[in-house]
Amino acid sequence: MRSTIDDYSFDIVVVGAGHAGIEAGLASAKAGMKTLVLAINLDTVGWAPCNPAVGGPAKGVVAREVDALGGQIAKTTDKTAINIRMLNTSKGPAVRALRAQIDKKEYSIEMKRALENQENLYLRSAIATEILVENGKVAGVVTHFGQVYRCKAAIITTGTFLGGKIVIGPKAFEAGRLGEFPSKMLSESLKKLGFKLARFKTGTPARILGNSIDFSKMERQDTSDTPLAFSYFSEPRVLPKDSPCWLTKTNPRTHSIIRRDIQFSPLYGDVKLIHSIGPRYCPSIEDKVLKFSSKDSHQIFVEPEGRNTGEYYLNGLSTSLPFKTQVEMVHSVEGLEKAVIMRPAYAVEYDFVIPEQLHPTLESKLVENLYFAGQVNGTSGYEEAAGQGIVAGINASAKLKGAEPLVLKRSEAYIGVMIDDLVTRGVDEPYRLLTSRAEYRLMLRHDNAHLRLTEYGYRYGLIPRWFYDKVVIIREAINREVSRLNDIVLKPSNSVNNKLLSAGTTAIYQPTRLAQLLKRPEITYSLLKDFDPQPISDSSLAEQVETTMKYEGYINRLRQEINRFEKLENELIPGDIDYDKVPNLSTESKEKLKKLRPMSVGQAMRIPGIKPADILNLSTYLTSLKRRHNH
Amino acid sequence: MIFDPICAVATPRGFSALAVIRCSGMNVLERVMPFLKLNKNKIEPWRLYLTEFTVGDELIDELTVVFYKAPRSYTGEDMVEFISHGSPMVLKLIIETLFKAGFREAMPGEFTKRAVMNGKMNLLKAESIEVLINAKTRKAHEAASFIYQGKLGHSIEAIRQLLIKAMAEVEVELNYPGEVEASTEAVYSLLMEVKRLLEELVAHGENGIALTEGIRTVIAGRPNVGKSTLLNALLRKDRAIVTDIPGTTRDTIEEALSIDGTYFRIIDTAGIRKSDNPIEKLGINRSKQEIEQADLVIFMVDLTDPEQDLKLFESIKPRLKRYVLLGNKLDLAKCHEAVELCISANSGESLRDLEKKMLEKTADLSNPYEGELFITERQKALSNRALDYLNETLEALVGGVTMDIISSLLHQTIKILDELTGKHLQEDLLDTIFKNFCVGK
Repeated sequence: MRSTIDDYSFDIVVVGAGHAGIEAGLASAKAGMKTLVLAINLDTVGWAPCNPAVGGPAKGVVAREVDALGGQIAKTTDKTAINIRMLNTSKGPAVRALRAQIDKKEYSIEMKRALENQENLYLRSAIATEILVENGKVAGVVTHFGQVYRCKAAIITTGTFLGGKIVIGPKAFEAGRLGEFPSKMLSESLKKLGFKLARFKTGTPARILGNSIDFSKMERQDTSDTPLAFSYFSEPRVLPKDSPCWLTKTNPRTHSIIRRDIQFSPLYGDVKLIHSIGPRYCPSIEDKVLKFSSKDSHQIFVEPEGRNTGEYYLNGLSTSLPFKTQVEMVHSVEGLEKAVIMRPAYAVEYDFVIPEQLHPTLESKLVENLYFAGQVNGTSGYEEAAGQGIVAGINASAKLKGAEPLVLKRSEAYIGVMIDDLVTRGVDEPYRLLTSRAEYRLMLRHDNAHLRLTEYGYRYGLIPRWFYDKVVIIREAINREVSRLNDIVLKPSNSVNNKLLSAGTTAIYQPTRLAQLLKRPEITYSLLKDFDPQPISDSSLAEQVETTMKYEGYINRLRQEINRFEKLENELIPGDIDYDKVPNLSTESKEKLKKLRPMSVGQAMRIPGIKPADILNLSTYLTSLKRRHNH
Repeated sequence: MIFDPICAVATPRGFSALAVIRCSGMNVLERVMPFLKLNKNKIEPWRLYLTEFTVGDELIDELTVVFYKAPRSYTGEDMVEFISHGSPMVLKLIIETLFKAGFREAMPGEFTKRAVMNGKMNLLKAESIEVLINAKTRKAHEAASFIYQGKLGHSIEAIRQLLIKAMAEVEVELNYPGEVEASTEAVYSLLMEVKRLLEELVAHGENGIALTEGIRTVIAGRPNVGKSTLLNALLRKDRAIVTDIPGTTRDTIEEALSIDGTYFRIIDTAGIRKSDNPIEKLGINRSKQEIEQADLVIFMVDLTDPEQDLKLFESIKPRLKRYVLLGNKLDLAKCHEAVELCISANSGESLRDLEKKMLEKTADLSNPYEGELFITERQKALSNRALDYLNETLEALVGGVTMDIISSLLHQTIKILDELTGKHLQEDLLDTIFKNFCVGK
């Protein structure tokens, strides 16, 4: 039974129950922390206010990484998916990614259920107004009802709600999302604590009534015929084909409507209501039309919002133009001539915390035990939020337990790349994960997230023992199979070469190991079966082996580079370092280091504008400190 | 300590009117003040002061001194430069005093290395300084000066931008599946353009090394054809031992020679013949290696007995980049129709014609190609490595290797170019580069 006596005192309070808040709350509760999750509106827990979809390139890999760490996003996606596909199938395992349309409402219900059923977790409705700080440490969270929840650590995951403002054409009003309260006072409280905030904007397209759409004029995109699952814990399945996506596109008429009314845009118009920067990677349709003026057509994906709703999402038609223009614009598109707009497109402008104020653990440098995760750190996307959420949850719990924090390396996970980018380089536009951000992307694949991260999930109590054991067995099986293929030597003969030629590859003239043969781009594991006395039957294992062999040479080269940097990553900088005592640092670098307070020499090196000489001076100073310490 | 105070005499050793002593590092001003008759609080940076350098009561020298404040100095650190009298004894006393005051002697190139590490100049410019100092001919100076002005850097940056464009094509497609389709042809043609530029860079780049290190010119031929006599004639001095015993030259001899401002390194080799003498055999093998590495081979034919020489020439001809087929001993026999030019190394007859021929044959090497020259082996090696990676990428692209690997290879290629210009610096790398510098620079 849950305690009713001490309902106002917690280990950890999570402010917000979006994609970051959910993962943070669950991770913290699973780690044994008494955890409170506060949501402004309990009916929109885990809400998907933009795309009704999870995944996509890089993002899909992040969802798998969160899953491998023991998170929720992939599981709930599997439960509520209505259309799922594997993207980039022909472009190589390293960029392959899942994308699923989710039933928006059901997703929210399932996420709420996951929170409700989690031991140690308390879900409450409230607007947080103030963070209480005592002796430089978090002491509690105050809500607008006047309640004070005492706690030892807090995780802020407020998304777009801090100082949220919605803009549609010339109209603007305060809201966290359309129809929801913003959180104004928390921004003030954070500023009072000394945090620097800035503003970003993002947008969402209109929602259309399905009955009013002429789908016959659009291209149909069905769910995959292959059984698929996001989570390692779900059974892959083929979904019913009752919720296809549809493809249509804008045309010169759409573009001329946009150009005609651009003066009424809150961004481009005479009266600029929005001064903040929007995401370059997910531009509004007016951005696309103005910036790519040579293209007379842009694609629009018409996506169902769920099975129990008639609303469709117009992916690619995000805008902040006035409602009247939106109607005209939508009607100019093929198949949407008679479309009824149920909810208008809008832009939202919000406060975010400049992320260089955070450690790579996501703990703030200003206030101890205060963590930030998700869109409040200047990112965009559910998966990015979830990735930060689980790391913040793990680290807040670890800190209270006195355990080592989790800092994922750039060579270990997209999550590691993202957090390192955020806290070291900062953001100048809403940050979205892209494959190009990861220099070691050949290693950060959809198919090996469990091999990379499950061990961490297990160490922090988020992954059950049986699954951890399973991953260990898989890893051993892959190694065994790779060495087996290395031992089988194929001798050139007419029959062998005929088979090879008919498989579309070239003949061999010297005895060749099967493993070597598998490195050829056109050879698959199943093609090798003709020459292999004992092929394995597990197809997912075979795929892992194939990928391992094909990437071996490339990855070994990357590893050399990683090892070179590893030394610097492991050279930790004490938190209480006095940069004024480091001899010969340039003034400019000293300022930057004092402001950013990097955790390791490796991180210091990645700070823009830091010179090699400063790194040497810093490194030398650290060595002399250590020597003094040892004497 | 890495940025500890260092000092060195920056001018050549020996007696001279003036000499420069350079100091750089932490607290340099405080360290030298006790020896100067100046008020520390009144000293302004970047101004010349005339003062006395004294140790105790003893006057070492009257000299001028200038103080540079970081980061506006050559190294980017605080610096002091003395201009003293160029007396070896004065210099010795000053340097010894500075050592006692906590300075250590600078390593070769250490001042420039610090400049690179403090972001005062990029690696290419730093490398050009050493070549500039050592330039032996007008053209070597020109080549170094091109790089000093950043022209090689610009060429590499242009290549880098093309690679980034190709990479963007690939990345957009990977990140927006179904929305944007990268045209493989566009990527391919961008990469082919990069390949063309890189190959051009590598080809012309070698000219830079030829200009600064000299055109490797090998004198080759059978024993006793007069190779050593020719070397001496070209140098106008007796460098190689000349006898009429065939096989006298056992090892290769190397000499520098400037012909009308073009820098040649002339290499005299052991004559090629069948030999049972193990030492001579070693020499002959060495000759064969030299011939293959040479920019220019002067193959000598004995006009008194040309047939065997000509046969030997036909056998090695395919391995030569450039050659002059030269008939010798014109004083003893008639010119032969198969050779390009006949001279007498002994009498010096037609020697000037040979020099002209050498210039003509190597004209492609000695014309500085604006902005696209290497002056160090490091630059050449990295450009070649970038080209290797690019070729691998192109092969992968054509061979149907998946886009994820293509994008990773492109990423690596860009990184190699960044290493070339010094955008990615590594300490051990810097040490290798600067160890050939002169002290004081």
